[in-house]
Amino acid sequence: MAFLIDCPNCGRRNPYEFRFGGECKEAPGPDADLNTWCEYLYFNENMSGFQQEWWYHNMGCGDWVKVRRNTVTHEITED
Amino acid sequence: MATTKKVLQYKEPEKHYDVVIVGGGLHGLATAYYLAKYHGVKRIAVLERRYIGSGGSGRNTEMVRSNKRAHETLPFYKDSLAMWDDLSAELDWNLMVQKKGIIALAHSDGELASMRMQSDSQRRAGIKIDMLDNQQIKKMVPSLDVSDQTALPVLGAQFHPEGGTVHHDAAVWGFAKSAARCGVDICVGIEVVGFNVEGSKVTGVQTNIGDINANKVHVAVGGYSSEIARMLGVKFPVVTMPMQVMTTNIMAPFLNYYVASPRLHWYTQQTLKGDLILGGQLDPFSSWNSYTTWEECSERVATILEYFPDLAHARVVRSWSGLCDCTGDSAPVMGPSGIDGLSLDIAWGYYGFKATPACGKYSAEYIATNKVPENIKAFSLDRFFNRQRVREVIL
Amino acid sequence: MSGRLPDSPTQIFDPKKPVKIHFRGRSITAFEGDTVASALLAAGVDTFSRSFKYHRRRAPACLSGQCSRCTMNVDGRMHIKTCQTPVREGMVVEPQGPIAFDPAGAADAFSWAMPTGFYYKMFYKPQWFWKLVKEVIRAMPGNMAKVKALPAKAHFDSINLSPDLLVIGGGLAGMEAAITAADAGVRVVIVEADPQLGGFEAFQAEAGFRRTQASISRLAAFPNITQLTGTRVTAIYPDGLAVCMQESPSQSAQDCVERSYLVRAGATVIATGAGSMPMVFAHNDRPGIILPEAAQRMVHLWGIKPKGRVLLAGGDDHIGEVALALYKQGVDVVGVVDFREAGLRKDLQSALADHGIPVWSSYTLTDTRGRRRVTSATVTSIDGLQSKRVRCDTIVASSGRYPRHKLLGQIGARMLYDAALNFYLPEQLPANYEAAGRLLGLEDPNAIMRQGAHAAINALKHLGVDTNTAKVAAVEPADEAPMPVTLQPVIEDVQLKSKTFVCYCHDVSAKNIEQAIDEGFDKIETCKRYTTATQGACQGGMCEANFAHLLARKRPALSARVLPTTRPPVTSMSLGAMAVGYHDHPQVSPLYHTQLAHGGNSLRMGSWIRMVDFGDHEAESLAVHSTAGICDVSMFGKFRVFGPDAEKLLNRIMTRNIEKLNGNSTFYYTACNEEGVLVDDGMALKMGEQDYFVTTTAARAAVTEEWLARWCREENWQVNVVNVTDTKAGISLAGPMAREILSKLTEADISGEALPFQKWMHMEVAGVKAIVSRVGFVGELNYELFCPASQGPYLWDAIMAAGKPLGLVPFGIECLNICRLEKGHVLPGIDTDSFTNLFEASMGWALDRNKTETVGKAMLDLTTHQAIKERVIAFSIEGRSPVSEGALVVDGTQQLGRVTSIIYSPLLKKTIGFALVAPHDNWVEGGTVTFWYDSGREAQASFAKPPFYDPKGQRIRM
Repeated sequence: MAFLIDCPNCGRRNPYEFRFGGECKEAPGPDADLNTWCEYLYFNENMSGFQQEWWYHNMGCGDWVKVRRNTVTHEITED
Repeated sequence: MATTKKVLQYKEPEKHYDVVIVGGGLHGLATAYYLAKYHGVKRIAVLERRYIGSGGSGRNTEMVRSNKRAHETLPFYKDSLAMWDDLSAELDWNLMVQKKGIIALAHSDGELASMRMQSDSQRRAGIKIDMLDNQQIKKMVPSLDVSDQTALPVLGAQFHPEGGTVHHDAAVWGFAKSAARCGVDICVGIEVVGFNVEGSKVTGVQTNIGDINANKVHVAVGGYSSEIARMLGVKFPVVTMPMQVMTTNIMAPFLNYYVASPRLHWYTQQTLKGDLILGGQLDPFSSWNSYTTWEECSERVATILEYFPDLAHARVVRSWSGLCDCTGDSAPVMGPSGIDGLSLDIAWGYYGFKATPACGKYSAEYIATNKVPENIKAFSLDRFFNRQRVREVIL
Repeated sequence: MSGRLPDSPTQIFDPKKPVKIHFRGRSITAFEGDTVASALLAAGVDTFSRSFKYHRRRAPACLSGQCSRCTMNVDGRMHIKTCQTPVREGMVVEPQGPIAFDPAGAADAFSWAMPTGFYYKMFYKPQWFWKLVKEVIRAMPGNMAKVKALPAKAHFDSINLSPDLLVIGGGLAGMEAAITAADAGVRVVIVEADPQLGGFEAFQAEAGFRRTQASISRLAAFPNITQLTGTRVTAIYPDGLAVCMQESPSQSAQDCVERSYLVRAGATVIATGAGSMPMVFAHNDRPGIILPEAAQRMVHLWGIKPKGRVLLAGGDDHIGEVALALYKQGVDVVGVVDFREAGLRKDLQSALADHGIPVWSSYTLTDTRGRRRVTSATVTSIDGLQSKRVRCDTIVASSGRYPRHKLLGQIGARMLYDAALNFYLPEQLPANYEAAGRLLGLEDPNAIMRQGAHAAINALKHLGVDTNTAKVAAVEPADEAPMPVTLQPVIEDVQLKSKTFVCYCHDVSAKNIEQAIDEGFDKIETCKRYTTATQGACQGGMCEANFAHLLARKRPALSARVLPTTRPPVTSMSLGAMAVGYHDHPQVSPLYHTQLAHGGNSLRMGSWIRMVDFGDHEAESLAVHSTAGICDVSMFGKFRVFGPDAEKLLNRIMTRNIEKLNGNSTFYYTACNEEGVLVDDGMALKMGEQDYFVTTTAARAAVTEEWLARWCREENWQVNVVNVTDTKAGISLAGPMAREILSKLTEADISGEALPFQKWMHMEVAGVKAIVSRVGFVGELNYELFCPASQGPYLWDAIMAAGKPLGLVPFGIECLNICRLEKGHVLPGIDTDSFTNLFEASMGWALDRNKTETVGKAMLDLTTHQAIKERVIAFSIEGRSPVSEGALVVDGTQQLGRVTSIIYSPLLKKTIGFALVAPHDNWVEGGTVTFWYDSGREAQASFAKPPFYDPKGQRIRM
């Protein structure tokens, strides 16, 4: 259950080197109403299991990485 | 003298209940107790998939206080803090309430300003609060370094004399014992896996041992709320993050207060037993695994040691973590869910323990009367849609 | 030599090298190679500590780092396990609390009044009584350490290691794993908790000792093996980090007292061995009752004879072997109790009989007597029918082996109970982890060595190392079967009493546990919490197996001997050693020292140390308005943004339209998050086509960098973002004399026509190449200069030298605060909070309504016509006011908001500021703002429309 984030530039690194950018979400389209926006902004799938998420390697390469991570076991898989 | 009377009594669930409560943590048990005791509801079940108090209820740092700054929420927290005082007698069980006082340190003018604001807000709500200067702090906590030699020197503090600690396991057992004696069925090893909804009304829950019908269902599952959301096909406004805590070897009494630094995200207190509880920061990423990590523990210890240098040879003996379902506005979601008969008491982040009595009382009131009590109106789920989020900013 | 057995080949102390230590005011002669505990035992010390609840006398039980009974204060450090701490000349050892006469020992007699959970059932009525009682409770525990500062020079340090293979445990299995791996050429770190390698086998009489010595010599020949002895692996964390703690790595108390090794290995072999489970019988905690390993270590390693007549008890052949070995060393063995029906192996039986040592098979220990230490034991047949008392001064007892499995739990391999073996074995281990040796239930030394070698070969495969080399391939395949353990039979009312201890750390007895189960606490997690068993200093190391067995006896269906969750650390680690790796580094500007030299008063603010003032911020502000001032603005975030999509990127984050910026122009911009909440502001300078210089607030610099990178990633834009925050110094020069001062230092035309307000140019100032822009933050003619950080101090001094004759003064952020409030500038994050959108910040003017893809624009559009929940307003008070930031804004009982900024302007002779408030009828020209502060004092101010100073902005355009 080694909890490491796979950075395409730096390899498998300690998660504390990154800033967590949250689960990947699709931003509402140009005609979206307020409810759609509020749901997008404040509500989360908050998956217990695999989810697609953003990580920013701020103590490494400075790149954003999309990672598929299991939030229970911390397993990381390819898309 | 010892009594061999059963303290914890579990039941196999029946097929139908007036109220089914999902989650055998403190909030669920308290809600069951208040429903049975004060609203005369007869047929109540509390369903717990592991053991009672297995989640955040037994993993928190036992702090009770009414320290929030959004003034519309203060009457709720004030009520909750006051309720703890009488609960030992009411539940016939010593909850080891210690109103030892909480000292929150300020390290900048901005924090002092924020604390002044918060303090005045609390005073207007009838909550006792004082501001301390460094001399007063030193007198109360001689082992604390209030000099200008620390990384972020202490400039003053806020003192909340009625804040303190309650033994969290005692509270779990006290509520469980009393709820069972009021006729509540506490069923462990029962995992809710789905909900039965007819039209817009909930009619029961699906469990690992089959369906259980209920006129009303109440959700009080701590950090696991999003799993309930998925069963209902909705989302909740939360992210689940662990909070890590450590405890040390036993030391002679040297710390009489709960001391915290909101700016540096640490707090510490010495328990009745003599060990120190150390903690204070959420992990910076979402996780459903109650691990502990070296990075978090060593940073927490380092920031505390900066202010308690004599503790360098104190020894950590155990670390653990609990899952916190956190909203962006540091306030919970209580009351209607949007589905008739299904009520919520979720999104309590890392501050749910202190709110237990009030959560039980007001959740029970809502379930029994169908009317949202004034004191929890600010916690509605609707607030995320109508721009009425609680302005609970942590500076 | 004093009180030791004659020299033996197995001893690890050197009788020719005496070491003096101090214990309770007396001097004790130990020898090099002794631990503190061995020295004290050799000197006849009976009591090491008092127990937690009943203050019973306690002495070491295991001498191998597992129990917590030998912990004392050593050289001022609390809770030190004396059994693993080597002696050092002049060492001061003190028990924690009274041990000879302990008045609280009376608690022992009142244990009947303290059934499980009695705290929960007593003292709470009335409330005041509990307040008294809890203070008494706090003072009660035994072995409480005092919190006192360490000696001044004592410190902690930390070393990072990244070997290919980490071997945990320096016994036969671990050493063989290390040797096998090292032989294949990989770098190995081997960690052993004892002061020396060898493990269990080292104290199995002479044959065992020689076997380990052979391994130790083979191991020492490898330069690619690093040995860390006296080092405990306290945890393996989820990212694979193994934290190892070494006590007193140097020989001087003044030096490093604890060192952490943070080991990140390619693969790990865990060979932590097994310990003995204590036997469950009444009064099983008296000094003199020890585990077999303690007796063996005393005799074989340190030549200490267990006191007086020695009785042994157990349920395996090992106890018979120990009995024989002790006898051979001249120990007075009075008998061996074996609770198995079959009894000891025949050869052991006859050997013991030859020496006249009685063996009682199908018998068990049920009780002991003795005050300062044990004096007799009650031995009972397991059918409970026959019983006899045996006089003895030492009891060596164990109910069998128990794996030291805690690190396995931490890597996610749960321990499962094997009912056939009565032993816990791990589930499948994660990749890169191997286990070997007595940990997996092996007993035969050869099997243990083979398994160690095999674990290393599997680890080498993980590491991608060729394992077909001749030496490695020669290792035979390991197929070793664990040896079964016989469960201790329990005679209900005879053995399970209120002083039959299961958890020694917290004085939890078998009766306590049974009572808890009867009360409904019959799951291991609730039972352990209710009784507090397994929650003490040893964290279950000594008791969890017996605890699980007792629970399983009463509730076989409920808990098939599940163990409590294992969490870090395995053994305690000091806060000092944990904190070493963390450093707090405040940032300082390149102009920091220059400003200190000019009399600046500094203060840590957030991550920066900034200058508050240079003595008198009010005088500084008057100087800015009358002559000129100079201020450090290096902490602004500074970015160069260029490339084909630079404008797209900046338009994404700025609420104003960057395309409207002409050549050599600058503008003030704001930035919102997706909610439309104001999060940042700064200046943008157009350097060329698709080429910009952008500043941000100090607090936001790091986030901005992430943010820009995120949008480039999402949109795949072609932009270069260069963060020049740390490489450029920033100086703000402001005041009516600013132009005159600057013109002394530059050849460039800086007239109002050539460099008007909101324009910028490259120029040399005092020979330093700088970006110089005209801004309006402080309300006067104002230049902002950005130059390479290394030249910042020179430029500052040059400007000061040129300006001093004209009245130039340095100023700090307090003065800056006065000036910006006079001009009515809202500071994001100060005057607004994480809920305040751009409209609520009263800065709707900064939003370009025609833009489409700006972050936050959609939400701002959708909420334009909604009622504002809170907004920023300005106010003023004639003269000085005692009101400060944080004061509430109220209307009677209604709480409207709070003061976010407030300061006295000596120029205006008014107190001015901002508040963040709910809508109210009073927020019109001439309306009253009421403050409530300091627990109920009230003050009033007038609602005002900023700016307070130079409303037409003529002075900034000079």
